[in-house]
Amino acid sequence: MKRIVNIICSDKSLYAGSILIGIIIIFSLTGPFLSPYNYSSQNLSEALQSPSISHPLGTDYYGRDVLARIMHGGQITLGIALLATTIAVLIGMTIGLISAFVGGWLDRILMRLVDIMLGFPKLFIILLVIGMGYSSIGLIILFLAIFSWMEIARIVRSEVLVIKEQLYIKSAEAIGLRRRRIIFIHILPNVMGTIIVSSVLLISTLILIESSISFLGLGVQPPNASWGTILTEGRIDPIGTWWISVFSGIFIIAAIIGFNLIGDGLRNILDPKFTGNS
Amino acid sequence: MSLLTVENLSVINSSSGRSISILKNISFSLNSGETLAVIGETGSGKSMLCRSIIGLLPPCFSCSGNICYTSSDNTKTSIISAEESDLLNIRGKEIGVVFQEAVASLNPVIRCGKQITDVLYVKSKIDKNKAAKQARKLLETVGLSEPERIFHAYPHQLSGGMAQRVALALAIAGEPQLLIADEPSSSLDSISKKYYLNLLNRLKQENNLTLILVTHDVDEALSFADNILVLYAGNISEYGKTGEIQKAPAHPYTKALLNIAHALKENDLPTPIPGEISSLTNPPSGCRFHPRCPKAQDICRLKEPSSIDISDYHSVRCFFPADTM
Repeated sequence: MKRIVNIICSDKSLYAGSILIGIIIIFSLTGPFLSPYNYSSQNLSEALQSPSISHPLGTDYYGRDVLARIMHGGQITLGIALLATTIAVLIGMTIGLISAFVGGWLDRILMRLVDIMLGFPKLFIILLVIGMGYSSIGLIILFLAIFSWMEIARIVRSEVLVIKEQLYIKSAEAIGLRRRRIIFIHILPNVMGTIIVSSVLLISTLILIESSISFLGLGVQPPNASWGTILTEGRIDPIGTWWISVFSGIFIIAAIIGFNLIGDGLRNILDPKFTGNS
Repeated sequence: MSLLTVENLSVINSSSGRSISILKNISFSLNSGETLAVIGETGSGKSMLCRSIIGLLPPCFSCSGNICYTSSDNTKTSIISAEESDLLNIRGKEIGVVFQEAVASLNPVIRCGKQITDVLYVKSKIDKNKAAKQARKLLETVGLSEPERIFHAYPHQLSGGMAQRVALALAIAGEPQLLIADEPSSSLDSISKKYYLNLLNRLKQENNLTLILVTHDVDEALSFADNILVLYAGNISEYGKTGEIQKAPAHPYTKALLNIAHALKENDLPTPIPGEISSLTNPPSGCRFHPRCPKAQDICRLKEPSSIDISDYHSVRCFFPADTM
């Protein structure tokens, strides 16, 4: 634990990003227990109140407390982004590794598949399917994952192709280690840094995409709310009810900045030649 | 007892559409406990020879001939035709290799100690704690003065000499009978070089190692090896007992190399061998050394010399071997 703290403190952007994301996560997870309001209980007599002491971030059209909704929305938004990223990284890593190791026609087919997937207008497809009425959080996660593993696969493939030819892999072969062991113990850790950095950056991309879908009304459906859903509720009168969109927007921006900072910081830290504040 | 026998080994690279002969008709044998020095210029095929012995040539290279290795339990394995699973048991456990660039041969993201522990764990099938203990011992064995620090260090934190020792520890972790050292000292300064060679000598005696030392330092080969094999452009120029070769080199190339080594020792200006090493992609006709040979005649340009036995343990490939009697 102390070691992790030391590592985080050794890079400024990692430090800032971790604190930002840490606050957002704690806020989203513990908030709903501390807040006197429920994110979905309506109270029309208190509708559209601007920020006050009893409702620090105001209330929306149905009199729901915006703060409670943002806390709940954080769980949904971050949950979707993290799960989708995990699935995307697993798919991408597997395909990248297979592509680099098997090579030949399989490599060609998989890489053309990546090209095709990258050429797909992913927002359009997601909107089309969800617009047909099949919207659920599980489906959103699946879609986001299916349309975002390609960069990871490409990165893993190209990194593995380089590392595979390094002398230390030859010497591991000369020691007589099995192929599986060489892949998982000697090659994968060398790629891990790049994978971690790009997956952290992927989280922020996915937060943005999920928010856009939800903003269009096709993402997370009521009674659940994500930051994108809350953002869209302020759309009817953006000046008069500014607090609804502004506060949820601030959280989206803060989360994205936070993950990008962590990504940048990790890029420095994960280089084994990195030795502190240099 | 012969540990390793190589007969008519030829290696051909056919990656660029046409076949390039990298090694041609290499034959030698190595007895248990002996040291063989392979000397030759850059590009003479020394490293490819090492790689064929452990069956690790890149896929575009094809091997013909026979490499026969006798394991410690007296089973003979033909490296060229062996199954991958048999080779896995030979590599590391029977034959260890130290590569030229030690720092590059260690995995940059794994601590040195863990790399050695891992090999011990896989190869000797002992539990991790025991393996870690043995790894520390190995680091001491290879003469590292701070084994505990090196154990926890990443390869980039080591100096070239230290990394070379760690690489050696890694190679002998599986307790091989045969150690192939591919130019182990070429990246070291002269003092570390001396220490390193002494260390190799000590390990050889303690563990009864058989050693193939690939080097381009003739002096090192003369002082260290029982047998010497001189490679020129993928061909054996001369092969024999060190003493005989040192006293009476038969091949003009060997002679030139010895003269240079002698001059360097006496701090004289050495006489360089004229010309450049012949290219493997476009080898000269006949004897591959003839464009640079002071004794070349017409026949050298037309025909390839075959191997002539000068004595029981000394053979040369030359039409005009120096008078050895």
